[in-house]
Amino acid sequence: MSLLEIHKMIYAIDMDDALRTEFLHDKESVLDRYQLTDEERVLLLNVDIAGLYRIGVHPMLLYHYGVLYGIKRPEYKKMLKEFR
Amino acid sequence: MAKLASVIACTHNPNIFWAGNGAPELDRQRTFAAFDEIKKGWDSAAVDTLIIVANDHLNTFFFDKMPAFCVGVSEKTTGPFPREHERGIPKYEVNVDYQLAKDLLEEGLSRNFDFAYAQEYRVDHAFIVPLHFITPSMETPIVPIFVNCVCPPLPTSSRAMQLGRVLRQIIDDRPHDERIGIMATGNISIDVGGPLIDEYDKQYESQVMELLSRGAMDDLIKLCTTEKMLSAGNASGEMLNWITVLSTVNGKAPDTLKLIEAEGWGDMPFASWTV
Repeated sequence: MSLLEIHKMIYAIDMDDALRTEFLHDKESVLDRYQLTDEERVLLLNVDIAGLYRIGVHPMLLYHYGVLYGIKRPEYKKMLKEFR
Repeated sequence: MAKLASVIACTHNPNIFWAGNGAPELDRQRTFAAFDEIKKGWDSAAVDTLIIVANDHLNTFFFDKMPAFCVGVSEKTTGPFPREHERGIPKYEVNVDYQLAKDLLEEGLSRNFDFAYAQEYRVDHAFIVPLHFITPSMETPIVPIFVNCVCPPLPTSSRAMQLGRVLRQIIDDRPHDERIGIMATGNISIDVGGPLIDEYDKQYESQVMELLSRGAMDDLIKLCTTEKMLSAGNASGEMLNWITVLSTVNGKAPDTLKLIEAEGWGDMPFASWTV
Protein backbone atom coordinates (compact mmCIF):
# COMPACT_ATOMS: atom_id res chain seq x y z
CA MET A 1 0.00 0.00 0.00
CA SER A 2 1.65 3.21 -1.11
CA LEU A 3 -1.18 5.70 -1.16
CA LEU A 4 1.20 8.60 -0.63
CA GLU A 5 3.06 7.61 -3.81
CA ILE A 6 -0.16 7.53 -5.86
CA HIS A 7 -1.14 10.88 -4.41
CA LYS A 8 2.30 12.28 -5.21
CA MET A 9 2.07 11.09 -8.79
CA ILE A 10 -1.39 12.51 -9.47
CA TYR A 11 -0.48 15.78 -7.74
CA ALA A 12 2.73 16.07 -9.74
CA ILE A 13 1.12 15.51 -13.12
CA ASP A 14 -1.61 17.96 -12.20
CA MET A 15 0.81 20.70 -11.18
CA ASP A 16 3.56 20.20 -13.75
CA ASP A 17 2.64 20.71 -17.41
CA ALA A 18 5.80 19.04 -18.74
CA LEU A 19 5.31 15.96 -16.59
CA ARG A 20 1.66 15.83 -17.59
CA THR A 21 2.58 15.81 -21.27
CA GLU A 22 5.22 13.18 -20.63
CA PHE A 23 2.72 11.04 -18.72
CA LEU A 24 0.20 11.19 -21.54
CA HIS A 25 2.89 10.00 -23.98
CA ASP A 26 4.58 7.38 -21.82
CA LYS A 27 2.66 6.42 -18.69
CA GLU A 28 4.90 3.50 -17.73
CA SER A 29 8.01 5.63 -17.61
CA VAL A 30 6.38 8.18 -15.28
CA LEU A 31 4.86 5.43 -13.10
CA ASP A 32 8.34 3.90 -12.77
CA ARG A 33 9.44 6.94 -10.77
CA TYR A 34 6.97 6.18 -7.98
CA GLN A 35 7.05 3.29 -5.54
CA LEU A 36 3.82 1.64 -6.52
CA THR A 37 2.62 -1.90 -5.97
CA ASP A 38 1.67 -3.97 -9.03
CA GLU A 39 -1.98 -3.64 -8.06
CA GLU A 40 -1.73 0.14 -7.88
CA ARG A 41 -0.02 0.31 -11.28
CA VAL A 42 -2.80 -1.73 -12.83
CA LEU A 43 -5.51 0.44 -11.25
CA LEU A 44 -3.79 3.58 -12.54
CA LEU A 45 -3.13 2.23 -16.03
CA ASN A 46 -6.69 0.94 -16.35
CA VAL A 47 -8.04 4.27 -15.05
CA ASP A 48 -10.06 2.16 -12.62
CA ILE A 49 -11.75 5.06 -10.82
CA ALA A 50 -13.81 2.82 -8.53
CA GLY A 51 -10.77 0.67 -7.70
CA LEU A 52 -8.66 3.71 -6.91
CA TYR A 53 -11.42 5.16 -4.73
CA ARG A 54 -11.71 1.81 -2.91
CA ILE A 55 -8.04 1.79 -1.91
CA GLY A 56 -8.38 5.31 -0.56
CA VAL A 57 -7.21 7.73 -3.25
CA HIS A 58 -8.42 11.18 -2.23
CA PRO A 59 -11.46 12.13 -4.33
CA MET A 60 -10.11 15.57 -5.25
CA LEU A 61 -7.01 14.03 -6.77
CA LEU A 62 -8.96 11.12 -8.23
CA TYR A 63 -11.26 13.52 -10.03
CA HIS A 64 -8.26 15.30 -11.56
CA TYR A 65 -6.93 11.93 -12.69
CA GLY A 66 -10.24 11.24 -14.42
CA VAL A 67 -10.22 14.67 -16.09
CA LEU A 68 -6.80 13.84 -17.51
CA TYR A 69 -8.49 11.04 -19.47
CA GLY A 70 -11.42 13.21 -20.50
CA ILE A 71 -13.88 11.56 -18.10
CA LYS A 72 -16.90 13.86 -17.72
CA ARG A 73 -18.74 14.42 -14.44
CA PRO A 74 -21.84 12.26 -15.08
CA GLU A 75 -19.69 9.36 -16.25
CA TYR A 76 -17.33 9.81 -13.30
CA LYS A 77 -20.22 9.86 -10.87
CA LYS A 78 -21.58 6.64 -12.36
CA MET A 79 -18.19 5.00 -11.79
CA LEU A 80 -18.48 5.76 -8.06
CA LYS A 81 -22.12 4.69 -7.78
CA GLU A 82 -21.39 1.68 -5.56
CA PHE A 83 -19.92 3.91 -2.81
CA ARG A 84 -23.01 6.03 -2.28
CA MET B 1 -7.40 49.74 20.20
CA ALA B 2 -8.15 47.36 17.40
CA LYS B 3 -11.75 46.62 16.63
CA LEU B 4 -13.46 43.66 15.01
CA ALA B 5 -15.37 45.72 12.46
CA SER B 6 -17.01 43.23 10.11
CA VAL B 7 -17.71 39.51 10.07
CA ILE B 8 -18.91 37.72 6.98
CA ALA B 9 -19.11 34.17 5.67
CA CYS B 10 -19.81 32.96 2.17
CA THR B 11 -19.37 30.24 -0.37
CA HIS B 12 -16.17 29.96 -2.39
CA ASN B 13 -17.84 27.93 -5.10
CA PRO B 14 -15.61 27.92 -8.21
CA ASN B 15 -18.47 26.66 -10.41
CA ILE B 16 -19.47 30.32 -10.73
CA PHE B 17 -16.45 30.69 -13.01
CA TRP B 18 -16.04 27.16 -14.31
CA ALA B 19 -19.55 26.82 -15.58
CA GLY B 20 -20.07 30.49 -16.31
CA ASN B 21 -23.12 29.95 -18.44
CA GLY B 22 -24.31 26.89 -16.57
CA ALA B 23 -26.78 28.55 -14.21
CA PRO B 24 -30.08 30.09 -15.28
CA GLU B 25 -30.11 33.90 -15.37
CA LEU B 26 -32.33 34.19 -12.28
CA ASP B 27 -30.00 31.99 -10.23
CA ARG B 28 -27.00 33.95 -11.45
CA GLN B 29 -28.63 37.20 -10.37
CA ARG B 30 -29.58 35.79 -6.97
CA THR B 31 -26.00 34.62 -6.42
CA PHE B 32 -24.44 37.95 -7.37
CA ALA B 33 -27.05 39.81 -5.28
CA ALA B 34 -26.08 37.70 -2.26
CA PHE B 35 -22.41 38.62 -2.74
CA ASP B 36 -23.46 42.29 -3.18
CA GLU B 37 -25.46 42.23 0.02
CA ILE B 38 -22.55 41.14 2.17
CA LYS B 39 -20.21 43.43 0.23
CA LYS B 40 -22.35 46.45 1.18
CA GLY B 41 -22.01 45.71 4.89
CA TRP B 42 -18.35 45.06 4.37
CA ASP B 43 -17.78 48.35 2.53
CA SER B 44 -19.58 50.38 5.19
CA ALA B 45 -17.39 48.82 7.91
CA ALA B 46 -14.26 50.49 6.41
CA VAL B 47 -12.02 47.59 7.26
CA ASP B 48 -8.23 48.05 7.24
CA THR B 49 -7.27 44.41 7.11
CA LEU B 50 -9.04 41.10 6.53
CA ILE B 51 -8.46 37.75 8.22
CA ILE B 52 -9.70 34.96 5.95
CA VAL B 53 -10.50 31.60 7.50
CA ALA B 54 -10.61 29.13 4.63
CA ASN B 55 -9.24 25.84 3.40
CA ASP B 56 -6.81 24.73 0.78
CA HIS B 57 -7.86 21.96 -1.63
CA LEU B 58 -4.62 19.99 -2.00
CA ASN B 59 -2.96 22.87 -3.78
CA THR B 60 -0.65 24.63 -1.34
CA PHE B 61 -0.71 21.78 1.15
CA PHE B 62 -0.32 18.12 0.36
CA PHE B 63 -0.17 14.83 2.22
CA ASP B 64 3.57 15.22 2.75
CA LYS B 65 2.88 18.15 5.10
CA MET B 66 -0.65 18.81 6.31
CA PRO B 67 -1.25 21.34 9.08
CA ALA B 68 -4.58 21.45 10.91
CA PHE B 69 -4.43 25.25 11.31
CA CYS B 70 -1.84 27.36 9.53
CA VAL B 71 -1.25 31.11 9.27
CA GLY B 72 0.23 32.49 6.05
CA VAL B 73 3.00 34.85 7.13
CA SER B 74 4.33 36.74 4.12
CA GLU B 75 4.24 40.14 2.41
CA LYS B 76 2.18 39.00 -0.57
CA THR B 77 0.49 35.97 -2.01
CA THR B 78 -0.98 35.01 -5.35
CA GLY B 79 -3.85 32.90 -6.55
CA PRO B 80 -5.59 30.95 -7.83
CA PHE B 81 -3.56 27.93 -9.01
CA PRO B 82 -2.83 27.60 -12.75
CA ARG B 83 -5.44 24.90 -13.41
CA GLU B 84 -8.08 27.00 -11.65
CA HIS B 85 -7.06 30.07 -13.64
CA GLU B 86 -7.21 28.12 -16.91
CA ARG B 87 -10.82 27.29 -16.10
CA GLY B 88 -11.77 30.95 -15.65
CA ILE B 89 -10.94 32.29 -12.19
CA PRO B 90 -9.07 35.60 -12.56
CA LYS B 91 -5.50 35.75 -11.31
CA TYR B 92 -4.60 38.16 -8.51
CA GLU B 93 -1.68 39.25 -6.39
CA VAL B 94 -2.89 40.04 -2.88
CA ASN B 95 -1.06 41.96 -0.17
CA VAL B 96 -0.72 40.15 3.12
CA ASP B 97 -0.72 42.08 6.41
CA TYR B 98 2.61 40.67 7.52
CA GLN B 99 2.59 42.29 10.94
CA LEU B 100 -0.89 41.07 11.83
CA ALA B 101 -0.10 37.60 10.47
CA LYS B 102 3.03 37.39 12.62
CA ASP B 103 1.16 38.73 15.64
CA LEU B 104 -1.69 36.21 15.20
CA LEU B 105 0.84 33.40 15.04
CA GLU B 106 2.75 34.55 18.13
CA GLU B 107 -0.29 35.60 20.12
CA GLY B 108 -2.08 32.39 19.19
CA LEU B 109 0.82 30.30 20.43
CA SER B 110 1.07 32.27 23.66
CA ARG B 111 -2.66 31.62 24.21
CA ASN B 112 -2.22 27.87 23.70
CA PHE B 113 -3.47 27.79 20.14
CA ASP B 114 -0.71 25.97 18.27
CA PHE B 115 -0.79 27.38 14.78
CA ALA B 116 1.57 26.14 12.12
CA TYR B 117 2.83 28.83 9.77
CA ALA B 118 3.83 29.06 6.12
CA GLN B 119 6.05 31.72 4.58
CA GLU B 120 5.77 30.39 1.04
CA TYR B 121 2.30 29.47 -0.12
CA ARG B 122 -0.33 30.38 -2.69
CA VAL B 123 -4.06 30.69 -2.17
CA ASP B 124 -6.58 28.75 -4.21
CA HIS B 125 -10.21 29.46 -5.12
CA ALA B 126 -11.26 29.29 -1.46
CA PHE B 127 -9.65 32.72 -1.01
CA ILE B 128 -9.74 34.21 -4.49
CA VAL B 129 -13.42 33.62 -5.35
CA PRO B 130 -14.79 35.54 -2.32
CA LEU B 131 -12.11 38.25 -2.63
CA HIS B 132 -13.04 38.74 -6.28
CA PHE B 133 -16.59 39.61 -5.23
CA ILE B 134 -16.06 41.32 -1.85
CA THR B 135 -12.84 43.31 -2.38
CA PRO B 136 -12.43 43.39 -6.17
CA SER B 137 -9.81 46.15 -6.00
CA MET B 138 -7.67 43.79 -3.88
CA GLU B 139 -6.50 46.83 -1.92
CA THR B 140 -7.32 45.41 1.51
CA PRO B 141 -4.44 43.32 2.86
CA ILE B 142 -5.36 39.87 4.09
CA VAL B 143 -4.14 37.32 6.61
CA PRO B 144 -4.86 33.78 5.43
CA ILE B 145 -5.67 31.18 8.06
CA PHE B 146 -5.80 27.73 6.49
CA VAL B 147 -7.99 25.14 8.19
CA ASN B 148 -7.72 21.52 7.11
CA CYS B 149 -11.34 20.86 6.11
CA VAL B 150 -10.85 18.29 3.36
CA CYS B 151 -8.05 15.87 4.26
CA PRO B 152 -9.14 13.68 7.19
CA PRO B 153 -8.35 13.42 10.01
CA LEU B 154 -9.87 16.89 10.46
CA PRO B 155 -9.69 19.17 13.47
CA THR B 156 -12.93 19.18 15.45
CA SER B 157 -15.74 21.72 15.48
CA SER B 158 -14.99 22.54 19.10
CA ARG B 159 -11.38 23.29 18.17
CA ALA B 160 -12.65 25.63 15.44
CA MET B 161 -14.76 27.34 18.09
CA GLN B 162 -11.64 27.76 20.25
CA LEU B 163 -9.83 29.28 17.27
CA GLY B 164 -12.61 31.85 16.89
CA ARG B 165 -12.41 32.74 20.58
CA VAL B 166 -8.65 33.13 20.45
CA LEU B 167 -8.85 35.32 17.33
CA ARG B 168 -11.41 37.56 19.03
CA GLN B 169 -9.31 37.86 22.20
CA ILE B 170 -6.23 38.75 20.16
CA ILE B 171 -8.14 41.43 18.25
CA ASP B 172 -9.76 42.89 21.37
CA ASP B 173 -6.43 43.04 23.22
CA ARG B 174 -4.54 44.52 20.30
CA PRO B 175 -3.20 48.02 21.05
CA HIS B 176 -3.01 49.08 17.38
CA ASP B 177 -5.68 51.37 16.00
CA GLU B 178 -7.04 48.97 13.35
CA ARG B 179 -10.40 47.93 11.99
CA ILE B 180 -10.19 44.22 11.36
CA GLY B 181 -12.60 42.12 9.31
CA ILE B 182 -12.98 38.35 9.42
CA MET B 183 -14.35 36.22 6.63
CA ALA B 184 -15.06 32.49 6.55
CA THR B 185 -15.46 30.77 3.22
CA GLY B 186 -16.97 27.45 2.20
CA ASN B 187 -20.16 25.49 1.90
CA ILE B 188 -22.38 23.59 4.31
CA SER B 189 -22.80 20.51 2.14
CA ILE B 190 -20.40 19.93 -0.73
CA ASP B 191 -18.69 16.95 -2.32
CA VAL B 192 -15.68 17.39 -4.58
CA GLY B 193 -14.75 14.42 -6.72
CA GLY B 194 -16.49 11.85 -4.53
CA PRO B 195 -19.60 9.69 -4.96
CA LEU B 196 -21.88 12.58 -3.87
CA ILE B 197 -20.52 15.06 -6.41
CA ASP B 198 -23.15 17.63 -7.46
CA GLU B 199 -25.48 16.50 -4.65
CA TYR B 200 -26.37 18.46 -1.54
CA ASP B 201 -27.67 17.10 1.77
CA LYS B 202 -30.75 19.31 1.98
CA GLN B 203 -31.83 18.06 5.39
CA TYR B 204 -28.43 18.74 6.94
CA GLU B 205 -28.26 22.14 5.22
CA SER B 206 -31.64 23.09 6.74
CA GLN B 207 -30.53 21.96 10.18
CA VAL B 208 -27.33 24.00 9.94
CA MET B 209 -29.14 27.06 8.54
CA GLU B 210 -31.66 26.96 11.38
CA LEU B 211 -28.91 26.77 14.00
CA LEU B 212 -26.89 29.49 12.26
CA SER B 213 -29.95 31.76 12.15
CA ARG B 214 -30.06 31.64 15.96
CA GLY B 215 -26.29 31.68 16.38
CA ALA B 216 -26.73 28.40 18.27
CA MET B 217 -23.05 27.61 18.44
CA ASP B 218 -23.16 24.80 21.01
CA ASP B 219 -25.88 22.95 19.08
CA LEU B 220 -23.97 23.50 15.85
CA ILE B 221 -20.89 21.94 17.40
CA LYS B 222 -22.94 18.99 18.61
CA LEU B 223 -24.38 18.51 15.14
CA CYS B 224 -21.14 19.03 13.21
CA THR B 225 -19.16 15.98 14.19
CA THR B 226 -16.54 15.00 11.64
CA GLU B 227 -18.63 11.97 10.71
CA LYS B 228 -21.76 14.06 10.17
CA MET B 229 -19.96 16.72 8.15
CA LEU B 230 -18.28 14.18 5.89
CA SER B 231 -21.54 12.30 5.35
CA ALA B 232 -22.86 15.52 3.78
CA GLY B 233 -20.00 15.49 1.24
CA ASN B 234 -16.25 15.08 1.42
CA ALA B 235 -15.63 18.87 1.57
CA SER B 236 -18.40 19.64 4.06
CA GLY B 237 -15.71 20.05 6.72
CA GLU B 238 -15.73 23.62 5.39
CA MET B 239 -18.24 24.24 8.18
CA LEU B 240 -15.17 24.46 10.43
CA ASN B 241 -14.44 27.83 8.80
CA TRP B 242 -17.99 28.99 9.51
CA ILE B 243 -17.89 27.79 13.12
CA THR B 244 -14.65 29.72 13.63
CA VAL B 245 -16.19 33.03 12.58
CA LEU B 246 -19.43 32.37 14.44
CA SER B 247 -17.27 31.95 17.51
CA THR B 248 -15.56 35.33 16.97
CA VAL B 249 -18.97 36.93 17.54
CA ASN B 250 -19.68 34.53 20.41
CA GLY B 251 -22.62 32.87 18.72
CA LYS B 252 -24.46 36.08 17.79
CA ALA B 253 -27.28 35.60 15.30
CA PRO B 254 -26.31 36.87 11.85
CA ASP B 255 -27.91 39.99 10.40
CA THR B 256 -28.20 38.39 7.00
CA LEU B 257 -28.25 34.68 6.22
CA LYS B 258 -29.27 32.90 3.08
CA LEU B 259 -28.71 29.75 1.11
CA ILE B 260 -28.81 30.23 -2.65
CA GLU B 261 -29.66 27.03 -4.51
CA ALA B 262 -28.48 27.66 -8.06
CA GLU B 263 -29.09 25.10 -10.74
CA GLY B 264 -25.76 24.08 -12.24
CA TRP B 265 -23.73 25.95 -9.63
CA GLY B 266 -25.04 24.23 -6.49
CA ASP B 267 -25.99 25.38 -2.99
CA MET B 268 -24.19 28.42 -1.62
CA PRO B 269 -24.52 29.94 1.88
CA PHE B 270 -23.99 33.63 2.72
CA ALA B 271 -24.04 35.43 6.08
CA SER B 272 -22.98 38.67 7.69
CA TRP B 273 -22.82 39.94 11.24
CA THR B 274 -22.59 43.45 12.60
CA VAL B 275 -20.27 43.64 15.55
